[in-house]
Amino acid sequence: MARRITKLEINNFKQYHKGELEFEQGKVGDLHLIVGDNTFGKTNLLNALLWALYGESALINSDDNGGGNDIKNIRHLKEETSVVLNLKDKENSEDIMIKRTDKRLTFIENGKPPTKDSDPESKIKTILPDSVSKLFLFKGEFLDHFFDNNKNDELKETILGVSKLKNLNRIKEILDELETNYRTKIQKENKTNKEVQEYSQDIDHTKAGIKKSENDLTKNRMSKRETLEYLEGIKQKLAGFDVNTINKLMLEEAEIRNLKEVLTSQINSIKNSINSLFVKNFAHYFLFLAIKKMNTKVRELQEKGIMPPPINSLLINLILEKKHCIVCDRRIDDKIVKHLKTLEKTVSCETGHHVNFNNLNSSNYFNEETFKTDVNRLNELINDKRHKDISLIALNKKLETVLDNLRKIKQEDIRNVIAQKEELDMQLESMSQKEVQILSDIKSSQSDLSILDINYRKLLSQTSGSKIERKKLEITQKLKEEVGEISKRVLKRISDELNNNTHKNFKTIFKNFYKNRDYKININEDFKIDVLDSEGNSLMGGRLAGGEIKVLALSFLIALSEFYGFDFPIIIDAPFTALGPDVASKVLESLKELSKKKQVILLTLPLEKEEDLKGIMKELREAATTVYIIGENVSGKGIYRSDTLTTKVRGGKK
Amino acid sequence: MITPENMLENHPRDIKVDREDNKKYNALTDKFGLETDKGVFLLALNVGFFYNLRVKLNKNPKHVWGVSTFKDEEIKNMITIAYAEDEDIPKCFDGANVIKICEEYANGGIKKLYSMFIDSKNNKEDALVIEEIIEDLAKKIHESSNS
Repeated sequence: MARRITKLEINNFKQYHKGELEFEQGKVGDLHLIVGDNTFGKTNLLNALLWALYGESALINSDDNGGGNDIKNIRHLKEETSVVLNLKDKENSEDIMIKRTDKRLTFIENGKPPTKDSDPESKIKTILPDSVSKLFLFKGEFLDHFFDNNKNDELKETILGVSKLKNLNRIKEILDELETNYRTKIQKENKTNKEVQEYSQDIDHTKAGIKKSENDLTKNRMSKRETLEYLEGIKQKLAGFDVNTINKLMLEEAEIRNLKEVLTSQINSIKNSINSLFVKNFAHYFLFLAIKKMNTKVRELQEKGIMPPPINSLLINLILEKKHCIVCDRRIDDKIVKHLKTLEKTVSCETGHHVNFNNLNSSNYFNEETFKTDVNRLNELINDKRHKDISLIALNKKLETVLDNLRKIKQEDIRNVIAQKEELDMQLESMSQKEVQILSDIKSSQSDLSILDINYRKLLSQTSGSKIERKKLEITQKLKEEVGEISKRVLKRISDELNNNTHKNFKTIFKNFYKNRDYKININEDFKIDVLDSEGNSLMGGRLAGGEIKVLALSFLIALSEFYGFDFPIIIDAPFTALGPDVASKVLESLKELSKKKQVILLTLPLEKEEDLKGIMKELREAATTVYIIGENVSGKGIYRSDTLTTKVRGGKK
Repeated sequence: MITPENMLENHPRDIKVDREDNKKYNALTDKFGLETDKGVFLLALNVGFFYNLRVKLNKNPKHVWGVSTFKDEEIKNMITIAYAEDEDIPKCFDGANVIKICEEYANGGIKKLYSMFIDSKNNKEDALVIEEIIEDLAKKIHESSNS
């Protein structure tokens, strides 16, 4: 059986007013894709699912603009919120509907209405208890940190939460209480025996010491976990920032500002040169047409012999004598003769006009060669300016990015946050040291206790009093030892099975990419996970690549879910975060392979924005049976099926 | 010695501009980094002539520059424009006529320059405006050379 989500209906949850997502069974794999940009509501989609299953306590922190802590859509606060989850197995032999509203939770199996006594929360626990939900619904980064040292407590809780170990530990506690009771009775029977009294007191004292140490250990671990969670938030805030980065940014800012200053001054100087060239050199080029006209006229006059001036009296007298025009040979009448005589007088006066007119030489204003040189110079200047403008724009952009980061540093008070992080790191270190110390104390006390126990038993065999009570004590102690042994064996069995299944998954599901790699997972008594290579060397501490960690963690998760028999689809928010194209491609191949085994729903960023991951997104879209896009189109913001992009998926029909 | 006085007969004492254009002259003088606004007048005159923008002055214009302060070359520039306008050589030495033509072309030219370089409606960079004007100029020179 492979249980799969067939439909998710969301009403008035965070930014989703109404939405319905159907996931049809694919022919090859059962892979589905939901694409949305940051802050568009991917995590809140995951939250809708978690809310339907476990209520508000299970929600994941989200950066999405979902309207704060309230689960209701901020625009429809009075409307009811509901999320309906439909689950079926591949053979359709099981049909489950889980519906949570503001007021109630309903669990309907195979269409049968719930009875009065039915407890929907318990029913959900049989499908997927809250404690193991994180193995199925998680953010991509969860896989990256899966093998981190501090995760062993979480794993312990998960394993204890669903295995028989929890019951065995409870039995051990009960036996311990019985043992104390019997010893107290024996102590009372031997009031006069000082040695028995002392041993009893020592045993009680040591046990109390162990109990106290265990409580301290739990408290220390809790504070360690809280500190870690807090530190995680700080780390996210600090992503990309440390003292060196800040100093580098400030240096970069100063450098960019200097460069900008130089460039701006250069641009201004070019601007001045362009203006000056325009005003000083080009101004008279505008006269070109006038000059040309003038030149033509002057040439005409020159051809007729009346240019260059002065038009002298000799020439006028010649015309007067010939009585014909020297240009057109037309006979001149008395009126013209009269004018010519007046002109002759004027010309004889030799006023400056004629000389000046002759000086109006067009070459004074326009010379083609100079004009070409000036145009080339202007073009050079303009091109130079253009290049510098582009460099300036690039510098401004760079500066904006640097300033943005610096603003962020200021806003977030990054320097203080860094100091806070350093302090928390130190606190964590001290907590870890304390933990080691407590564990060592417990071990030493347990060793003392076992010596005390042996001596106490020897002593009891020599003392008087009720043999029955002594026998009871003896049996209880043996039982306790036996339960301890069983616990160890159960843990060993779990560990072995998980190791084998992880190994098997890794080898089968992810065989294409990691065929030359062989890993083993080892879980010790303290639930610490160790990843070993084929030669038994530990790979913890940065010796695993990003993709390997993700794939290995997935193999382990599947093994864990199979071990406990929980059958639920795998839903991953941002599975490709911080992965390069090669690694992302391997993870995608693995997920495709995994989807042949069980339903996989991925919530991703629109990777086409990232040049390197375009190919992966295309492949992912091709492999996915259904693709939903959280975004905006003509109808507004919402979730759209990629094959019906123009139709908004709202309540009811698509 | 040739002086504007003996090149132009009967010219008025001053060159005038529209009273309200005074600020345009100042703005463009700053823009082009010129020492005096006389340079802007000559540019406006040539640009006004080039784009055929002859605009009569309003009543009560402002007397700005004395004609005697212009250099020979500048006076020749004015005479050339006057000739191109009238196509009559004797008329182009008539001082009153030459100055009137030049004042009117400069009046059209200054408005054009102001709208191109200063007016906020035109967001283009100075260099781009200049490039466009020079392209126009080169085109006309090319056409005229081929005709």
